[in-house]
Amino acid sequence: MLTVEQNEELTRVGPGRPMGDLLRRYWYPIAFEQDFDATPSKTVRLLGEDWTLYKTPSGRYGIIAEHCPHRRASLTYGVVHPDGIRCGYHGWKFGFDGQCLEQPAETESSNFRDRVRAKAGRAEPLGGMVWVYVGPEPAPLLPRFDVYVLDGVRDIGYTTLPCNWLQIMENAVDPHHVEWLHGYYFEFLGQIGGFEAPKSFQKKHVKVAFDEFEFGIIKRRVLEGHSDEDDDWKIGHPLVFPYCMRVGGMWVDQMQIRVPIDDTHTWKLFYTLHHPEAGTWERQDRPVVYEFPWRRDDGTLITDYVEGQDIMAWVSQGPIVDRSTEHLGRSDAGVALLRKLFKENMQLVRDGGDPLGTVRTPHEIIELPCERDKFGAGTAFTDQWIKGGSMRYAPIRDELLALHRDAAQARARAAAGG
Amino acid sequence: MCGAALERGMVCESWSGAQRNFMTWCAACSWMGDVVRYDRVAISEQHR
Repeated sequence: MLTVEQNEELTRVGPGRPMGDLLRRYWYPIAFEQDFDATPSKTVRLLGEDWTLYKTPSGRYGIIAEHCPHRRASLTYGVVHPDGIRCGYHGWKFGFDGQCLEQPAETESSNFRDRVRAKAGRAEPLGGMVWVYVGPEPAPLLPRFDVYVLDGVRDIGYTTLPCNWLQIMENAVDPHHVEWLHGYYFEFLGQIGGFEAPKSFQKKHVKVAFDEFEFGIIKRRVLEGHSDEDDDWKIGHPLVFPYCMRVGGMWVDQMQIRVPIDDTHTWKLFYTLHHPEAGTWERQDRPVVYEFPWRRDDGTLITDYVEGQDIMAWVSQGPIVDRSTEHLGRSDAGVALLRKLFKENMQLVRDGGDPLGTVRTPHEIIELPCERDKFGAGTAFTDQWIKGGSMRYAPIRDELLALHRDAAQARARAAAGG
Repeated sequence: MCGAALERGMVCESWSGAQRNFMTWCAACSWMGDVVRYDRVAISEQHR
């Protein structure tokens, strides 16, 4: 368990906080490109601060602190220009870097505007989303992880959860919960609800290991009936520090994204790329985006699908887990390792260094290691994942199922020499 | 282990049966490992 002070240090993400300073060294997805089809600006909240995100007529994005330095009106209700944004209240204009460029009601000879600068960051599109960096210069490059740039069909399920991002990340280094929450509990729900729960999550863990690597932690597992030669051990899959987990199987590759909105809210996204070998698909202009439910109108939690079970655990832990009253066991070693990584990187930032996963070298793609044959379940895993997870709410669910089935049949024909 | 104070490091307590462990990371020398609390300082004679 941690002290109250240690827990505060790990969970508070606002400006000037040690974790806030660390988290501001990374890029975050904060909106979808289609959000700007009807309006050129929107308010977004990130790391405990409110921002105006805007798109110019030429397609360039900018991000600036929401409240105008003049008299604090919202810049989201301003006028977007090719070179910045103008406050709707008194016309103060700001460039992409936040520098005040015009103050219409002040005299032309005044240099008042030179002494006014709004907090601003950088914004760029990637993979159908708008990404922002609100930390100090020089900004790192936006990492072009594989799922965001490879060819394929994309769907993005999203929601906002009323809990701190860290307890969601701790779930990512907690392999044993799979056999209990998604295996044993899911089976129990199936028995009382009269449905068939997926069997692939019910295999027990024989061996678990964690390896630090350049972008976070590789998780490895050996399940009952399997060996070190299976993908779950040989390849594993990564926690991508500090706010993602990369998972996948049978050419469904997903980044689970947990954007810290503030201390008690997280924007949760399941960004999924479907690109089965031997599959054919039409080129998408943009990912299909949909909000998925996790709570009924009466407030009870929806737990008959995998991600709903995880959300139940995260949300029921409380807005910020009280780690001063927890009792960790040996099976929580991954959780302790993650906390150590956060402490280590907060110290690195304090000492003036780049934290884990900082990218400054230009690149086309960063490929992350990830299992292909998941839990030894073969192609059945794809069907179970799409039908039994948050993708069941995807508007293109049936098309995704057909894509993978058709591809599997094509691979089988090719293997048979047909 | 360098013997530096752990105030900037991390100590994370866990249990394994009756054994109380402290996963420990030192910010000064980066050592990371388990420190196990003694109930009694004892030396096993089983190897003799």
